[in-house]
Amino acid sequence: MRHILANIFTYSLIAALVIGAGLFAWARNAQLVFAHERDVEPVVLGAERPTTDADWFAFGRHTYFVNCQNCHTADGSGRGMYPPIQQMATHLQAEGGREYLVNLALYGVYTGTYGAPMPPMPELSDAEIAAVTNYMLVQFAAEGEGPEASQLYLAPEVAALRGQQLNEWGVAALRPAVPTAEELGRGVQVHLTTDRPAVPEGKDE
Amino acid sequence: MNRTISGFLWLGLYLFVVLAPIGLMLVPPVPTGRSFWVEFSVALGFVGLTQIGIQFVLIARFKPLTYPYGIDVVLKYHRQIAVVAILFVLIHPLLILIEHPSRIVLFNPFGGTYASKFGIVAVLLLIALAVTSIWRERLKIRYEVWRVVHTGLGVAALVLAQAHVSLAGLYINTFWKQMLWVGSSAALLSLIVYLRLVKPWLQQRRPWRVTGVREEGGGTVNIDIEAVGHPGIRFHPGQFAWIKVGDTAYTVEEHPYSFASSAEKCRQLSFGVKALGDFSERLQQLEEGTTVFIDGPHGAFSIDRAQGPGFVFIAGGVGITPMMSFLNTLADRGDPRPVLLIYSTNTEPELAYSDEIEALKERLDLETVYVLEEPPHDWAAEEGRVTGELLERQLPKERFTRRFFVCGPGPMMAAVEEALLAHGVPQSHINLEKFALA
Repeated sequence: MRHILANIFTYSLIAALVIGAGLFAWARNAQLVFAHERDVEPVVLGAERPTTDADWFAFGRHTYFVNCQNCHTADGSGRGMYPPIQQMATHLQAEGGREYLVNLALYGVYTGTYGAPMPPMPELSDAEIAAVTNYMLVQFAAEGEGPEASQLYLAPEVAALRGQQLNEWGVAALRPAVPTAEELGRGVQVHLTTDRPAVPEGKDE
Repeated sequence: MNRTISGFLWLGLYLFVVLAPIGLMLVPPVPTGRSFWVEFSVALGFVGLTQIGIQFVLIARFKPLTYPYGIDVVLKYHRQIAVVAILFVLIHPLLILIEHPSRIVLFNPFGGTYASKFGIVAVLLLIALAVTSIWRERLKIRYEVWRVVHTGLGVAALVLAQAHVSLAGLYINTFWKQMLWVGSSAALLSLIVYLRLVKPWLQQRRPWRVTGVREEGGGTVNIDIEAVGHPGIRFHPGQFAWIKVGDTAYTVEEHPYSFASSAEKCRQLSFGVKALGDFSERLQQLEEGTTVFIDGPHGAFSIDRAQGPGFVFIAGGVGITPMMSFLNTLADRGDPRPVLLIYSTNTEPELAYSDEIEALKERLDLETVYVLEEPPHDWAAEEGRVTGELLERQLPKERFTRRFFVCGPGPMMAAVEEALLAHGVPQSHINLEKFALA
């Protein structure tokens, strides 16, 4: 009798675990969230050029923190394991560089230089990709090399780049001819700006 | 506390713990939700890892935890859920690969990232663990060697899996989540320290001494032991203990044996040991005065857990041991309830404890039916095996109220259970003791 009850429990538990995992996956996929994490999003969603710095910056910073920082690290260096994403503003000047920075988030990129491919992240909203790319360009820029305010991305620009037939290798082939961080000899160096507060004003995790 | 209540409380706590990772993953800050299959894969990975971690609790032989269910059921669950957990863990990388084929580079143990390397090695260790456990006998791995290897592989797999989660975990993105996971893994690993260091130390302080080794029939030897300098243990008749022999309790050599003695005697215990392997053969040759250590009592096969107006005990071979504990206890308690003992072996000399059983008839309302497969010419009792026909003949009229206890070889128990059910005995009145514990 005990053994029969135990077997019933075991099978029910297995079913519960699979259903639990499925429900979790559905909720995550549907972008259901418990907290007001996205309160700042509407500010960035608009087509207007972002005027209040802190709004899009905090949003980009949060997006970076939850989606990118695990690999690319808090300072953007990647600690040698993942590509450094510091001083990327040079891409904006190169041919096709502006699209490349968005494409690599939408379709991923794999060049073989590092152990892991950049996974495609189409689940990020247009606003998230715009904000996180802006954040990356500004936060990890060398002194005086950050992007102009007019060069910052907006959500509609990201939306326009969706729907292309691209994959990780295709994006790698379209990579603009800018010197890699490795070639510049600062692949794993940490360039933390000191004049800028590490946490943008007013927003704290 | 009431056994049923504590049983449900533990189950509730268990369900909470195994589903906690899924809940924890939804506590912000969380990454932007990815595709269904990637998130499903991640959830299976977390659930699988939690199950593997829980395995360390299941084998720690915590009496309050195993008591409501019986440790045999807990250990069986340990084996069943291990297979499920490993399947979950194997599906986890496969789903991720199907979603993003470029991630095949992560499967190269010399490429990839540290997160992927730790993950791959952990999965390989788990596969090795499953293979050595499921096919231990076919691979001819000695039980003691297997125990050490099994523990080592389990610990290594959990450590590497935790490293994988800490490094790869998008969901482990805050200090407190990181600490919660690392802390839980460390706590689970410390259970091995408890089982292998603390528990032997406690056993060492409560030694037992062999006071008699008596040859019974059928290759069964009765071993009497006595508590040395401590009040002994309280147990329910029919329970068992793991026994270690020698001067030190710090050994992996231990095997479970049922008590044969009365539960009313805490300081003098007996075990019925049948020579089935190296260890039991050595046990049979023990000399008086040898020190032994016991880990017990464990098990839920007991008349104390199934109160009824009378009992039927059906034993095959060495399965008589727990029945002797039942009979001795009932006699010592002066229990007036009627008992029918059906005891089957191959030949007459194999009937162990037969003198003791006959003597117990003086003190108990006990009837016996001996069943021999190869009876002598002048045998007057039953012949063959315990079949439905035999039960029909021998069972008392009030069979529907009696509680049945069956212990013997697997096929015999299966046949007896089937026959009892066919003769209208309710499933809940049948208690089986499966010896294959491992």
